[in-house]
Amino acid sequence: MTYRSIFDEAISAEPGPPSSVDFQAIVARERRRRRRLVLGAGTVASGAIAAVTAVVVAGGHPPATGAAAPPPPSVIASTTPTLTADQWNAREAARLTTVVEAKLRALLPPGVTFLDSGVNGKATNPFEVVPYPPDDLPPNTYANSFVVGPNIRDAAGTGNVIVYIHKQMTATLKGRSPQPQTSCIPEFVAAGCHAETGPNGEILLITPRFHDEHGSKIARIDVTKPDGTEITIDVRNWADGSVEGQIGAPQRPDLPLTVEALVELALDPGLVIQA
Amino acid sequence: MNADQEAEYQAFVTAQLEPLRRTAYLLCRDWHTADDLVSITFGKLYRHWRRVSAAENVNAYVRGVLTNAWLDERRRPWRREDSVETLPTEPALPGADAGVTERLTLFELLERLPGRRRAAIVLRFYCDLSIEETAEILGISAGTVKSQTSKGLDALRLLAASDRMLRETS
Repeated sequence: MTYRSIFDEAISAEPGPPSSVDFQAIVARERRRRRRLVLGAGTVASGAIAAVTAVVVAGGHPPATGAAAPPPPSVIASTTPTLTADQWNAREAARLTTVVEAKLRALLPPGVTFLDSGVNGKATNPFEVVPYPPDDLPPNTYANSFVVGPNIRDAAGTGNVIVYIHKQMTATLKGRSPQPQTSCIPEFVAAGCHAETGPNGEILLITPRFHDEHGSKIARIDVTKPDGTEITIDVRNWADGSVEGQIGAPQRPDLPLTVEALVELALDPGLVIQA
Repeated sequence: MNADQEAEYQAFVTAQLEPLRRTAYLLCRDWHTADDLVSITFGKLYRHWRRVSAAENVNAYVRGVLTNAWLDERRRPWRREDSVETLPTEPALPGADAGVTERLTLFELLERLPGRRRAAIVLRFYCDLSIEETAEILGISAGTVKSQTSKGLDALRLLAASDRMLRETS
C-alpha cells in the first residue's frame, strides 16, 4: 500500500459534495478582468489628460470642490497604457504605504515610535506595505493582497498592528458581486464580536477583546468595502505579531491602538485596492 | 490566450480538477474551501497559461500555486487564530507523544501539523513531488523538507503497517 493510496482511501471515506468549480465562470471572469485592466488603464490615462486640460482651461487653477465631494485619489494617475502585474503591485504597495503611514501617524501622538517587524518581510521601513505573502510565489501570481505590520512603541511598552488589505477573489470567481462577511463567526462572538455598518456601506465586524490569563490581548476588525476590498486589522500588546498565530507575552498592559482608531484606519478612503 | 491555448487550458483543468480538489481537501479539510482554492488556482493558471504550459513540470507548478493559495488563505487572521475568549499558551504541536499517534486518524494527524509541514507531507507523499520540488514550492531548503516530513512519515508508516496487519488478520 502506497502513501498515496492511504490518502486516497481516507478521502474516499469522507466523500464531499459535487464540485462547485465552474470552469466557464472562471474563464469568463478572467476575460472580463483582462478587458478591465486594458480599459481601466486607458480610462486612467484619458482621465489624467482631461484633468490637465480642465486645469489649463480654468486658468491654471483647479476647479473648486464642494464639501460633499469625495476625497482626492491617493494615487497619481498613471499615463502608462498597461501595467504588468509587478508594476501594478509596486504602484499599489507604494500608494498603500503612503496611506497607512499618514493615518497611523495621525492616530497616535508624536512621541510614539514605529519600528520594523517581521510581518512585512523584506520591507525597508516599518510602514512599507508589501505584496502578501512576501516569500512564496513570484508577485505576479498573487497580485491582490498586501500586508504591513509595524511595531509600535511608547512609554507604556511595545505592541504591534498588522493591516491586511485584500481584494475579494472567491466571490467574483463564482460570478457574484462582492460577498461581505456580514456576521461574526461563532468563535469570535465570545470575544465581543459584533457587526456594524460604516458610513459608506462598509460592513464592519469588530472584535474588541481576545484576552488570555497572562495578559496577552488582541483586538481586531474585519471590514468589507463596497468595492470588495477586505481589510483586517489586528492590534496586539506585544511586538511582532506572528503570521503563524503564536501568542506572545505581553509587552505593555494595553493595546497600542484603540478599536476606534482601528475603525478609523480601516475606513480611510485610500485604503482600497484599486483596479 | 488564443483558441488553441484555451482548449489546451480547458483540457488540462478538466483532467486536474479531481486530483487538485483532493489535494486541496487534504490541506484544508473542507470541501467548499477546497473548491475555492481550486478555483483560485485555475484563475491564476488561466492568467499565466502561456508561462505555465511552458514550465518544465506543470503538475508541480500547479500544486505550488494551490499550496500557496491555501497558505495565503490560512494566514488570514480568522484562520490563524484558533480561539477566542482565552488564548492558547502552548502551540499545538504534532506527534509529541508517539503513543498517541497510533490512535490518530490520518486526517487528525494532518490537522495537528503546522501549515508548512502539512503542505510538505501532502506535496511529498500525496502529490509525489521530489524533495527539491517541494522545497522550491514552499521556499525552504531541501534539508528542511526532510526534517519537516520525517515525523509525518513515521506516523504514516505506522498507519500503513496497521492497515497491513488488519488485512492479514481478516
